[in-house]
Amino acid sequence: LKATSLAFEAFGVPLTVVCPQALTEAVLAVLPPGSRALPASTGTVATIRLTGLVVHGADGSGSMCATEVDALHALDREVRAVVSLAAPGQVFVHAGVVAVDGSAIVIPGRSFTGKTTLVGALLELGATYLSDEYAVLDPSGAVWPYRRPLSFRTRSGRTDVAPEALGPVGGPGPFTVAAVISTSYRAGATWDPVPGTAAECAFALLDNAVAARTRPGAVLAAVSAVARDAQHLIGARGDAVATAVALLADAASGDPPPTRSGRAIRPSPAPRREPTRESYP
Amino acid sequence: VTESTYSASAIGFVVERLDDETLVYDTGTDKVHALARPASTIWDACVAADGAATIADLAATTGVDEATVAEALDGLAAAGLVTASIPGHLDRRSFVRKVGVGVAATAGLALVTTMAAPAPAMAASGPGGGGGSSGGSCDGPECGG
Repeated sequence: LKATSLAFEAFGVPLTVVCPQALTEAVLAVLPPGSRALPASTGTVATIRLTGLVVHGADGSGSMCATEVDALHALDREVRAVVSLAAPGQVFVHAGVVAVDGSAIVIPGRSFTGKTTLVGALLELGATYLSDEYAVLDPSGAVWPYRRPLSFRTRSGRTDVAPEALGPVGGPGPFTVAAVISTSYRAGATWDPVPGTAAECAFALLDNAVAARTRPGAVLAAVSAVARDAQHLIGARGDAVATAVALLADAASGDPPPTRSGRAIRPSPAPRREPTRESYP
Repeated sequence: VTESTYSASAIGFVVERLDDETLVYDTGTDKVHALARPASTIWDACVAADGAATIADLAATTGVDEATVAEALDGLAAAGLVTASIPGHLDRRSFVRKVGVGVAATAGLALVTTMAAPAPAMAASGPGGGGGSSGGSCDGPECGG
């Protein structure tokens, strides 16, 4: 198969992907949001190769995939690993992020914590989509979007949903972080959060920061900047829709749960649709 | 009886100040410590004292009562943020029993909280990979990602 070389820049990181020419469009579709092509002669910091069903990462390691779709997911993962570690001046925190009336709600957490489901529920209620993958923090603690399709896990695998299909897509950013939500799903739980301290907020973000060990100074500065001003709510959640309703109702009332900063989350004026679980893939 | 002195250095640490808490990243161990106000105050005083501070000195310098100083030193020592001139000299419980004051102010509160910074692979997750322990596990119908 004839190979093609794609040089591009994402979040300030120049990269090269080498892949079968026939997969060019599919590869372009999984590159980080906002990626832009670079001239082929541009020097890049890493090269990731897709050969057949084998993905060779920037460190030279190879992983054999069962299907083409799996290979594209692996390629996506390798690209994100490089970008999230090396993006200059930006700190990538694994999180879901939505905006409400111009301010961001950040939900840090790794896979299998129900993050995507809660983000989806907030979008159904009128919040604006910013990310299902990373909160990209700048040194001031403001968050930038990382808009990739929401990736829902289903019993039969994964289903990607374009963010446009779930409501409005916000502007380019950055957004001030109004709230950090530390939660995970627990069957039967009711969202009844307690406020966290600034240090707990910083810990919640730090625990999901990709470059925590490689760039601790930048990471600590960014998460601390968020923690100084954002409210931090901690608690287990049950149903995602009920939790999203509660979060936005607190914001709408102007009387959110007791916090250190008292910063209010303001709701989007967009009309709300009654969410249904069936509306999600 | 020779009294132990306590010392601390800010070298090798990344420090961020929050309102009344301090975050300290130990680049040698990749652990992060959150110091509540008393611990933050005592750590600063230990750094400033340059290795010559006793519990009484630290209490006098900071205005923090001796029992709380001892409690803070206990947490700071466990975190590797202070060292005693006489290792093991500080037995917090004995000291607190002896001093018998100030405990109520800190009872039930962790003056030093520690977490390990995640390795890049731990903090990354996405389609088909990654994962970790943050926030617990989710195996129900709500575990979209």
